[in-house]
Amino acid sequence: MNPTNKDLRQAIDEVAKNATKQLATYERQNVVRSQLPCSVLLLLIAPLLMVVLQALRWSLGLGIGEWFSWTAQIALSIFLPVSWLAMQAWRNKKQIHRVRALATMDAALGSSERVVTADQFLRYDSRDGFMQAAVEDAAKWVERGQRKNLNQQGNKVRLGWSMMAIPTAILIMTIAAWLAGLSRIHDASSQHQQRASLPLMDGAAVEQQQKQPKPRDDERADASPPEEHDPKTGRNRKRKNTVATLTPNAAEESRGRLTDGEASESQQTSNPSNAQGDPSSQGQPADSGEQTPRKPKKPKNQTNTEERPPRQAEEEQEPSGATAGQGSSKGSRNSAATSDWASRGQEATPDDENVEDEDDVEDEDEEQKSRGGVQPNMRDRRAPVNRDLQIGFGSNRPNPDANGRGGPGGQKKSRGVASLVLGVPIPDRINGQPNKGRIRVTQQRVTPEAEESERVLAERRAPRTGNVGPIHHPTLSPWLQDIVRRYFLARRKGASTEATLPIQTPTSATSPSAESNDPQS
Amino acid sequence: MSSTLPVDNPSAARDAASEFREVHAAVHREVARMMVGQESVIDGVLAALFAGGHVLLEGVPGLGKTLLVSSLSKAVDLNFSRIQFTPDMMPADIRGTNVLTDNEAGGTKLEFQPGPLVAILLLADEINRATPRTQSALLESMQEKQISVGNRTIILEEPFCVMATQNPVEQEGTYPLPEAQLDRFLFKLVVGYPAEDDYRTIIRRTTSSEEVELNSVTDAETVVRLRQVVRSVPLPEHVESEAIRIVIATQPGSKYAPEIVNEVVSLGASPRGVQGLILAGKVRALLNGRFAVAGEDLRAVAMEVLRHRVLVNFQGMSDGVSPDDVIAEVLANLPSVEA
Repeated sequence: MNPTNKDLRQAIDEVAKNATKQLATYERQNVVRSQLPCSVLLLLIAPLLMVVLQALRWSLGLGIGEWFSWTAQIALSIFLPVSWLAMQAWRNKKQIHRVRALATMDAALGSSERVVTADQFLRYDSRDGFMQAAVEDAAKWVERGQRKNLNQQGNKVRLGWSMMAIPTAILIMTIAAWLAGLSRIHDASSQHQQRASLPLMDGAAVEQQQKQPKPRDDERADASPPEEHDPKTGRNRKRKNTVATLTPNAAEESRGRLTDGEASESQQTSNPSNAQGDPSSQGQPADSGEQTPRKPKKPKNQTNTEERPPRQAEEEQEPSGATAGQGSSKGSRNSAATSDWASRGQEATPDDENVEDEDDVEDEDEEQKSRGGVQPNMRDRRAPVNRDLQIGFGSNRPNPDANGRGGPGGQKKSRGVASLVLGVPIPDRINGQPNKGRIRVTQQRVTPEAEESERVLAERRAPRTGNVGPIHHPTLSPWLQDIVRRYFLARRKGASTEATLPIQTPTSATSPSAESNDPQS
Repeated sequence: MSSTLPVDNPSAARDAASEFREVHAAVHREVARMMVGQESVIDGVLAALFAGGHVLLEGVPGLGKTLLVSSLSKAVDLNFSRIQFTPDMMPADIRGTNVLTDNEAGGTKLEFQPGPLVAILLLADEINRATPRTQSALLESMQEKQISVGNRTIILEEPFCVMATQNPVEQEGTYPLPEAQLDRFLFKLVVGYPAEDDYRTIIRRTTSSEEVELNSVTDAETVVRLRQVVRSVPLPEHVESEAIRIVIATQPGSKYAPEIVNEVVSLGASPRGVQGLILAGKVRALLNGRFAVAGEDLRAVAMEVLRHRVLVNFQGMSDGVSPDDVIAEVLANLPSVEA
């Protein structure tokens, strides 16, 4: 290798290094530009995570707390997109080949690949005259390439709608901070009220209050006005208050505060034997002119629970009126129509209790109150009783659930003669089939009116000026044109022979037959 | 490199390249005196002549295709022969045959009478009017540069070159060239209409008493030597890879084939296409003052080299897709060295 070639080799190395460095920077910028919209969207991750964690804390009853400072939240929000961009840039990092770098420099120099060709020829052990001439020819271009800036145009950044992620992230962080602030205000007010109530209690009460578990906290929350809090929070607390009134002590206290009319009603409900003789008195408003206060429901259940053992014993001696519908030979003093709500067939199941524990209880009370009196109870919403008639199973033991009334079940029910036939229970194939609902047909009387528009003469229509798009005009090859021409010539020839009317030709116009038909001739 | 290099030092290479450019320019200038308004066609014909290939000239009648070839023969001083192909022409009519002649002893003997094919520059005018049987008589001469008649083999003199013309419009009584013969042409040049100003020159030269006398500016020996110079131009590896990719991309179902090739091409270019690309690229590199082939040379000559080697199927013809459209799509989809 002569010195000239050696120097040229080093110079080409410099060019390759220069081009590689610029290409690597250019590719990194391209990756960052292409991934920028995605990374901007990642700004939302950290604020959303904060909100979700706060919601989880709130749902678990831990209260909304401030876990991270504003600085930490902003730092986390920015860290995710930046780390994403860095990861993408690292993942898309490619080895830039020397040939590619030199060819790019050639393109920038306009040297027609002289540099990359010279670099390749310099690696050969022996070179002919043309190769050496090509190497020497590239020397001036190599010198320019050492200082040449590639100036490659990168991809344009198109953020578009992803820019909305920035204000959205700020908004979410603001909302999270506002919720945390509300929680602190709420906690501060609660603690203040608690401190204010402490001097009124003696030491033992304070001790007891401090030892009280969560329900006491709920009661304490009840002391604070619910209007100060979130409606949902207040509703939840209100529900807990309702549950709290279901404790036995509370039931006893509420029973003691009832008016006369309500007391008689509760007694009537609790004693089924009284309802037998006077069904009309059930559900009547109290005689007293006082406004009926909110009626606690759970004492009634409590009463039923307390009276259940003696009634069970009574029913073991004589079946209820509902069992008469089974065709039992035994008579009954009780009628199914006049059976009490608390009879065996309608005895509250745990599910029913849950139903009553729901908001329906309050809705019932409010609905009755709004109607101006005591209305039929809404307990009809409970699940219908089992209709199993127990026919053909050979057991004389009365089924306590078989009262003859209908209800959803897995098997079809039967009555009358069909119920006497020994049969296999038929599964209900259409059980649970969804109903598509009512179909309402609405007819509307509309007088039809003609839509009039101005006439436009065809001559006045302007030619189309807009772009009609690409119109394809395939030019057939000559042999295809010949085929098409022959085809239509054959068609025309066939049509002329099949046509009923003769084609007007000069010979046919001057034919003797035509002249003979002419009346003037 | 090989030991038969015509040039072994850079200065000799520069001299050879300089001579090539000078001779090319002289021939071009001389032919352009007669052929007006067809610069690109003249360049293509000269490139094929110096690259050692054959040319198929396609154009409507009256564009001077025959005039171009005859002018070239005069400018290069080549043994020129013209065959007007007709449907009743037989292979023996162009190759030559043995005829019974009298000898000095008063007897008779069979003597070979060479046909018009035995020449250096052959003009096969309206080649598609001959039957495939007659057209096939050109196959051996175009590829092997020899003629086999009976037990006689005639080596054609260098620089043998066939320049054929055909009319793309008139199809009555013509026979399309078989693919085997099409593939033997280095270039297919489409002769178009001249520009408006060129019409004035054509009128002045052909309808007046002015007569253009062409002089020979070179000879066959120089052309043969310059052909060796062309073949001495080195080919870089990345350009070689690019040429291979271009040809493979024209073959349907291949690795580099774009969608249009898979849809409308029934037959792609053969290895002869790569040879043509490289040789034509070398000529272009020399003409542009370079001593090695570049990728831009291949892309510049790809249309002329490949358009008759790409066979469009019926779907492509019905859609109006020409081989030029296919090659343009191939070149557009081919990754460059910079990518």
